[in-house]
Amino acid sequence: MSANTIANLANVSLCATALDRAMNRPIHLPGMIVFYGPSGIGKSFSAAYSANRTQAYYVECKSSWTRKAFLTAVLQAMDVMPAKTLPEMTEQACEQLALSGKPLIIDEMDHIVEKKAVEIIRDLYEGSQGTILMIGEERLPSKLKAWERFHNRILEWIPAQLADLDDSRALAELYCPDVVLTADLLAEITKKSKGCVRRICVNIEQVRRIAVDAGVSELSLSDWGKRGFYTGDAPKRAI
Amino acid sequence: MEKNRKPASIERIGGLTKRDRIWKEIRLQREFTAANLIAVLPTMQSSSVHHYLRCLCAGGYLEADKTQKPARYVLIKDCGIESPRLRQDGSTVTQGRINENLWRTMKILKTFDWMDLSRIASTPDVIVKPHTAKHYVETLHKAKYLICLRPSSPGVRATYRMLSSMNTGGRAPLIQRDRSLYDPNLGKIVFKRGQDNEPNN
Repeated sequence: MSANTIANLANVSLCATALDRAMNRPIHLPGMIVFYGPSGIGKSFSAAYSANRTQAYYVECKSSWTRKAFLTAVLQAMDVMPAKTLPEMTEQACEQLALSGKPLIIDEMDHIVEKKAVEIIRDLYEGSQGTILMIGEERLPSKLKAWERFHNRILEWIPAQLADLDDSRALAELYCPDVVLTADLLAEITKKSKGCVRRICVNIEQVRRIAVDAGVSELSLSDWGKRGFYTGDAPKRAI
Repeated sequence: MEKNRKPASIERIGGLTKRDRIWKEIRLQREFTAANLIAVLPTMQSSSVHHYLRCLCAGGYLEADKTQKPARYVLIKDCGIESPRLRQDGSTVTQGRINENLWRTMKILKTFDWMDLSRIASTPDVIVKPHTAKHYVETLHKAKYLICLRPSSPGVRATYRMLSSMNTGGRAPLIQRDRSLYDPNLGKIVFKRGQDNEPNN
């Protein structure tokens, strides 16, 4: 693994290895996996890395989507001119998925889980026996339970992890290579960011700017002093 | 895959390269001679067809029966609508993967700066240099695929956002040697140098 990639982040490697396992699964095992967790935790980073590594087809669902809109987006990602009817479109997508051997990544799956679109995904899987990675929020597994025929075709359910100190260190190396953040400062950032990758990035960027302005190459918690961190909480009233 | 199976009617979106057009004919005919292909591709030089056939045989996509004159080819590995990108020895061409990763990552992240992009688009096989990401982002901004949310200031990189209406498809727009931008999904040049009077944002 190169030092310049995001592969060292826990969620990124979790997602990538799960996708590898699904793509290389024995033929009798199902090929759909679900990666879920709260927002801001690095699911999109993970999706991007996994998609790039496997040259996957990626679609991000929107709440307004119908089944047709979903299939159109899948076909567009595959570069296939969509046919006119749903059955034809399903067949096109199945064929391309099966022949290319590339996985399909469906992000923001929550948006379509309460609609018939879930059945379409099952059709895609049945018709291609390909690999499908679905990504969604924390409650995605329980929402999917309502679709029993779907549920037992899932190879793995992978909960995304909250970022820990190692993740903060990896992010600091990526986003702030020119300034060393001491362990106590990193620990504080991790704590204040509540394990949220997005907030950790914001905080590291703040630290970087302060350090660059001050012209120092190392910053510790005591240097940081009483300056606050970005916690994602709404600001408190100052009077 | 059963033999003689008719493929679902699939047509690729956008502009086709020479090899895309040859591959499309191969998938339609499945068993053919070079002359069969050349007959339906009148504008193509026959050497292009022969060269691509050699690549495909070396890569294990086609099987050639050279005992017959002229040689007959059979499609044995159909990888779908994308034409395999192969060198003459059958190995896969990796050029273009950088653009592909950048394009895919932009669509996934939506809001980013070029440094984010170069890191997140890098994989063990394909390393995207920050400078490459920057050049790509700036060109796509000029071509109005991206809007600038926050211009750069000393020490802070500009933040861009991908316009969802500009998600033209699966293939990455590419910067040509004359620095124009070609979008293969639309099959046309979307930006030419000299057009870059300040974009709206």
